[in-house]
Amino acid sequence: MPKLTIDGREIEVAAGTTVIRAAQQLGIDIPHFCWHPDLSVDGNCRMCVVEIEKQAKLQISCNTAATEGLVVHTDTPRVRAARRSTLEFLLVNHPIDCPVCDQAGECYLQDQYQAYTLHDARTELEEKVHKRKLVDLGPILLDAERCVLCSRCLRFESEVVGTSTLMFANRGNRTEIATFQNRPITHSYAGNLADVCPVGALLSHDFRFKMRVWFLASTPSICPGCSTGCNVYVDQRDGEIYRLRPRRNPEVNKSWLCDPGRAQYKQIGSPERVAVARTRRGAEWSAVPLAAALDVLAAHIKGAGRALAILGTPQATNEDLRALSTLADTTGARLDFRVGDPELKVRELEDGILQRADKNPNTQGALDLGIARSGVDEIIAACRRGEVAVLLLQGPELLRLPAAGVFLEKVPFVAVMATHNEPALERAHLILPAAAWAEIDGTFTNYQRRVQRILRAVPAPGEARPRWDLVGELLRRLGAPLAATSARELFGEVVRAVPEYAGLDYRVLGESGRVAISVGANGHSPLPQV
Amino acid sequence: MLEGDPHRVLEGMAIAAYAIGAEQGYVYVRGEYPLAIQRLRTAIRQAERQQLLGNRILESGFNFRVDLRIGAGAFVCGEETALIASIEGKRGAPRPRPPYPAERGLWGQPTLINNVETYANVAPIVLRGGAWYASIGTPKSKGTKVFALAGKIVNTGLIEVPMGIPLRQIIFEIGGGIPGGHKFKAAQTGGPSGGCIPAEHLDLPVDYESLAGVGSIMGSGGLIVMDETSCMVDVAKFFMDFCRDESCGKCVPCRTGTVQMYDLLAKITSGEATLGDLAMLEELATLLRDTSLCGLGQTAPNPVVSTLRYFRDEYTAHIVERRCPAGVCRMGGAAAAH
Repeated sequence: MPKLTIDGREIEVAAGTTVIRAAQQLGIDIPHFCWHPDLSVDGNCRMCVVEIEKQAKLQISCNTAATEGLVVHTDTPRVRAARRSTLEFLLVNHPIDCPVCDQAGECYLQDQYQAYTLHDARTELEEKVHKRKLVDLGPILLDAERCVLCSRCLRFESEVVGTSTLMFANRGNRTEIATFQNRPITHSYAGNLADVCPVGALLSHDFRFKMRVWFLASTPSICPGCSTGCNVYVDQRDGEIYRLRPRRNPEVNKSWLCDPGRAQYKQIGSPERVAVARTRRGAEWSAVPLAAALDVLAAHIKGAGRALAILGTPQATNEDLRALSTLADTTGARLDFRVGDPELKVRELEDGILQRADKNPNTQGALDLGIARSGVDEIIAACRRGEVAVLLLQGPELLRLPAAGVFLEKVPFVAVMATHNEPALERAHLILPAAAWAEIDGTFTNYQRRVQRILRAVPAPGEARPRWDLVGELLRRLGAPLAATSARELFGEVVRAVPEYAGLDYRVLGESGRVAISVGANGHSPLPQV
Repeated sequence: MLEGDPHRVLEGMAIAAYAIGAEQGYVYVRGEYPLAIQRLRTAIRQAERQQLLGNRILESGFNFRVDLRIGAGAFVCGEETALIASIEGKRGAPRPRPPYPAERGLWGQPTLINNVETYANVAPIVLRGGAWYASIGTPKSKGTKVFALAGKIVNTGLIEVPMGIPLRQIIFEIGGGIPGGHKFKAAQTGGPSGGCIPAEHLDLPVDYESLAGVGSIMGSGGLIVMDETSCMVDVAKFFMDFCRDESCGKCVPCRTGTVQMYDLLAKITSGEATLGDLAMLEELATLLRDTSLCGLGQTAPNPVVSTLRYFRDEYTAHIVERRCPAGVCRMGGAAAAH
């Protein structure tokens, strides 16, 4: 392992590490445009130059191997002068239209101008090279004048997506990025192009002009779109979510997020949210206070005895599922969650990149927590036989089955926890308002069995509550209250219930989660091999 | 070489391929040389017919094919990594080294990449031995070198001379001197990114070390002779115009810096510049040399640096006296539009 000195501090790094990464390990951030931790080195921006003792020329730190005995200086007058000139060069033909640019506030060019130069422009506006602006590429809007030609977008496409929609056209200082005949970007990772763009050349159509970024607060969370469990930031202002951004986790999603995942936020602020409890008499629905609705449901459950069946949802957190299995244990109810067999798809990669066939964030967690018990077919059969007096659904999956109208005919009372209105809910008798993923604390277990935290970013609408809280209220009414009063405490119960989760708590999980330890052959291993 | 004796190049390539165990070779030829392309094609066909190229060369187990790739007119494709990208069908742009082509070159494979002139030297060295080759030239620059004589000189064209031959001998004996009774002023060696050599260095031996010592390079082997009717600022502007046009646009200093330097030179030659502009020109020259990605940008300032070194008075005449000593530049007008 080579040892080198950067700005007077010695560090030992793994062989093959570059100087820019070694510096990062010391907490020294060398400015750069074209370098990206999850893309190949291109070395075109010349911003990350450093001075290395015994080497005559400045070297780019992104492509210099950290070798034994190297003495690197990242902040000498010569380095600063080179950086300053590079920045001035980049701004020579830049339109400097920050006031109307969506990137302002999270722009490398702006940040580094403020850090290194703060110079007055020496180029007249009419002397600048003009390029194409406002080119509509579908999900992405291109402004070639703002582009610094770092080629991150080209490298992202060819190295991550495997496409080459974007290319360089022309040469010299007339070089610009373009797509053939302005064709739109059609792959489902387009949003990342706006993310990797260090300036305002590639902007997200979805986010553009919606909010200035400095007003947004970011909460780390997990995308609920599929079993991959990509790490995200939820960006919100005053309880309204404006976008999801990928949060780097080299073990899960690197720096990327798919477009369907990115769109998940739209469901949070949807007008179709279930904000209050509702009961149905005949075909008439009426809103009821949540407490009254829970009283009604608790009464039905008491009356049902063992004729209670419970279905969990792989959309719910481990904490929600743990509360649900406690309810099943207390009442002796039938319990399962595998509507549509998500357990068979949990590891199936759909596109070779990030998207998995199982569109639930927590199928693995539900398996780990032993929610797969009675069998969905058996519960449906019991409904048909008239053996189920009360059916409690943690999510609406079962109601969506085409045959639900038939097999629910003999079930006198169906209660469902729901986040969004949909026609299938009409088949229930009671709807409880559930908080959605961005409104709660908890954990999801992804396809790798990585347990990852989600954090409450915005308040839930109306009387909507976390599912574990709704179940906790029921248990209290049934005389067997939960010991835990928060998601964090419930996670302690989850850890006690799942041997593989031994040693985990919210602090250990941190921001990038932990993979549950695998237990030997005699241990509990509910995951079918796919 | 490709027009006159293409077999010599092919033979050198085949020997080199045999030495490193390569089975495929490429000759990258500029599209501007149709005769070279045509003759090379003929030579490859002939060699294949004679079993000197192709499968089982001379009944041995050694196979070696040579294909042609035709350049589409980009100067930067002379840079080895850009040339490799161009052969692969990509945009002809350089990439940072390491990895060097010997480690990861064409199609990601270890690649031996050399000048046509280098390969042409292989067969004679194998035939007559290294000692023979080393007996030509100087102790450090061995062998011969081909120059393309051009400019204000009686005999223009290609010459092959031993390394270390005095510049005076090349220009006044082989080249036949300056036509029209004019006086020798300077010789530009090494192509658009080389440097100029003034009259005071006419007795300089032409080898790698001596050229570097006076701030020039061997480069492509171009040798352009100038007489007193040439304005050195105008010459520098001419070469910078070429470099800004040929910059691939990949790295920032070359993409923007060559244009900025050209604009300053245009200002000087139109009599609108200040001494501050001259200072900035020198600052930019250092920056491009220090921070550009490839040889094109790193050496693009050479003509400026070199003319400033030997003909600084011409620059100051343009700036301070608003006068072009050679009478080439039209002063007092708006900066030449570009």
